[in-house]
Amino acid sequence: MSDAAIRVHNLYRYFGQLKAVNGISFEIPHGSVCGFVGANGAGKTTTMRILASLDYPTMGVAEICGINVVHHPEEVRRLIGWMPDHFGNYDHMTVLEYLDFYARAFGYDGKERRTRVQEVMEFTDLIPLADRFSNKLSKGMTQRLCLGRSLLHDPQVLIMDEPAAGLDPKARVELKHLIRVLAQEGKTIFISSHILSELGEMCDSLLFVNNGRIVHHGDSDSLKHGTDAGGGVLYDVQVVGDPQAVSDWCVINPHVEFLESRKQGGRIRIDTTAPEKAAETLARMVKDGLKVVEFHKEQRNLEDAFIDMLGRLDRGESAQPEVARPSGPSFSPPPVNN
Amino acid sequence: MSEAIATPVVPDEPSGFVTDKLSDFSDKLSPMLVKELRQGLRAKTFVIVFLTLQGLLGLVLLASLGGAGSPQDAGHNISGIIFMFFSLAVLVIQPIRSIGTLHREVQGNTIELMVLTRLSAWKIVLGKWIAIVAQSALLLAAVIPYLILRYWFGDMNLFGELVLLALVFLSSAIATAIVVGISCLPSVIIRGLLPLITAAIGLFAIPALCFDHEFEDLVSIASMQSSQDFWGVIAFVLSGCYVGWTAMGIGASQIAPAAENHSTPKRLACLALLALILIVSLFAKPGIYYLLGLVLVLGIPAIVMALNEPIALLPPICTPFLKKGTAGIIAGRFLYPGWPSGVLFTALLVGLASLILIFGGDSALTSDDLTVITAILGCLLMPAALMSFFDKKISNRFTFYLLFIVSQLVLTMVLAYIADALPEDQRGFLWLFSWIPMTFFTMNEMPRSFDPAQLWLVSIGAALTYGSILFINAIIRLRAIREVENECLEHLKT
Repeated sequence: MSDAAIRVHNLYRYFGQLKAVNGISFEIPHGSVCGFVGANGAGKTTTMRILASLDYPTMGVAEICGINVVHHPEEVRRLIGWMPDHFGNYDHMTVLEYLDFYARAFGYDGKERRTRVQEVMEFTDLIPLADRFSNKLSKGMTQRLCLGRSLLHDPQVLIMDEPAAGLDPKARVELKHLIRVLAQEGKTIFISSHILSELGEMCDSLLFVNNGRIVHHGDSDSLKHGTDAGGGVLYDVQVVGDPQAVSDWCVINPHVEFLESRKQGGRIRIDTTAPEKAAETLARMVKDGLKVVEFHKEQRNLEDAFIDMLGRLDRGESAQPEVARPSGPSFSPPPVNN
Repeated sequence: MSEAIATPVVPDEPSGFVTDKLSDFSDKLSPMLVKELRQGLRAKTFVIVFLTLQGLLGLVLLASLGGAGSPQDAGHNISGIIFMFFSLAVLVIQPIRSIGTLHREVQGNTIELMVLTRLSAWKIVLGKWIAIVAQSALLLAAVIPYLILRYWFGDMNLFGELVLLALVFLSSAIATAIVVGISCLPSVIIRGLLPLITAAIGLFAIPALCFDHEFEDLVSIASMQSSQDFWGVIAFVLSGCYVGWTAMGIGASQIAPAAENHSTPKRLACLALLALILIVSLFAKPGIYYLLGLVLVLGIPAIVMALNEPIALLPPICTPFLKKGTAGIIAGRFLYPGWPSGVLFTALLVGLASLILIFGGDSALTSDDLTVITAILGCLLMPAALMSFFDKKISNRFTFYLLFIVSQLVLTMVLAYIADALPEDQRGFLWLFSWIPMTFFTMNEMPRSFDPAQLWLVSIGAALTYGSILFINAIIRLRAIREVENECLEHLKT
């Protein structure tokens, strides 16, 4: 069995001329929470559907806990809980009956089934809604019901496609709380969302995908603190006096680049992540007579970081993915398909 | 909100809340059946049908008692009324309730949620069918007391009427299976309009049948007093079961994940049945038209399905074949899911059917019969042959195929109408439409305008042309299968 809970290697999925997934590779270790970020049509849902064994790749390997999703879909389905971005509910069926149906469908019977349903309802706080018809629930309640359904068979890996879409703030907080609890229990969670700030708070790592390719894989801090694709760190500097002095100083100092002017200073880039270098730069500024009143790492939110990254890509600059290169021989030729 | 969700191994029964509410259906029942029954029995349609049936039967029964000249007349009236209301309920309303049942699941993304459980596509379809049929069975049970009451009026063929009631119920089950089977197709014309049109026809035909002398004929056939009637009823039951099974197979294969193989068992079953018929017929030499009927009932659904499967061959499907070595690889060419292998399977099936009809019957078929048979084959092959040129652009082959067939039918009816209105020597224009195999049926009905031998030859030519087109396109597509097989072989080695 592989060390990774999810392993994707050179995955491609074409729909005719459309390259929905275009050669992506990544690994997610057991027990971690990984956010999957990208614009609409970037290939997130397709990748997730392949991992959930609901679609198949044109080429490449996708594994859950070391099991190939194409070769052994039945085994993979026992390991994953799938929460789609949208799904329908049934008429004339209560919340309790809905979960009971899926518990039966997952193969539970008798006491075990009833116990399992009760536990999931308690966990997702659905007990007060037990007798409500499942198609009469609010969006937040529906998402809790969907999460409950995906947890019925106690999966090791949860794949959640846009679970927070359309939720009000209270429901989002509740969902985030549930995901945190699940993460603490050691479940691997692969989650896509447009609400990046929330992903940043709950995820151990973030995967950014654009046009079917991974453009960044790392923790949220690396983006928030302004680490750029070239490995540099961005800082905000403010001085008393002439703000132009900062840009003038940068011109004559190596390893430091002036990026843009701001009120009473500017935005600079130091071409290494080593904190000693930052301290050394600050010391030199002071030594050279700059009256520095503020010098700190740039704190960007994830949305800004993502937009920056997309901008760089649009300009043709590289945004090298920090992808753990998996080893292994597998390479699937395209399935015959019409 | 409570914390922590434990693993499912919890021996103690939870508090009464869940236990009390979830004990309404046995664990032994299929989850799908439980779900459908819970939903179905709450649905207003069923409750309305059930109560209306009871109310109408009671009311009309009382009215018949007062209005009839003698107890026997009243008895006959009551039989007609019982059969009419029951048939309308189970042959018209119940199948209509299944319209779009799978499509709604597909649209709501719930099919995907279900296939991720241990439910197979077949179980999902079967559950939906059984739930409707179980409700029809409740209607059947509700009618029985009235039939017992009718017995006391005398002059009743008890066995015949009971068997007829059972046959109506079976017909309802078959009709429901067909509607459930096609309910997942994207085309609303196929999944909705066709059943509705059929139901509308039934709405007028059923009352006419129940109060006509044909009703007595049906009761007489159902009483199976002659061996011909007996075998007729048996053939109806068996062919009905096969058609129902096949129709539900269409539904299952449409909703199944690509990694589920629904084709091979169906194709193997059809080939095995034909092989059995061949062996039996070689010794028993039954009537040629019985054999022809059997071959058509078995062969047509199998060919239609084989020619319309999408090509999505995945390793889990190849692997069982490859484990059997060269024999498995050769068998795969005929039995893998997908229309290219379906073409080879069709060729095999047609060969087997030809052997049955040539060597198995008590007499030879006439040239008229042969024209009809080749025209049927041409009708089945033509839409598939045309679609094989642009199959990558067709999202759902089966829907297009059925639409092609319906178009053929409409065009042929128009041509037949025009030809009928013309003098016999001016009907030759139909040759221009001989590329539409269904026109051979029309031409075959006009022996004075068309030479039967010539007609047969042309119909063979049309079927062969479409068969060749399909065969060439299938061979081209089958080459790609080798790549998937190679991947599987590599995987098997590791």
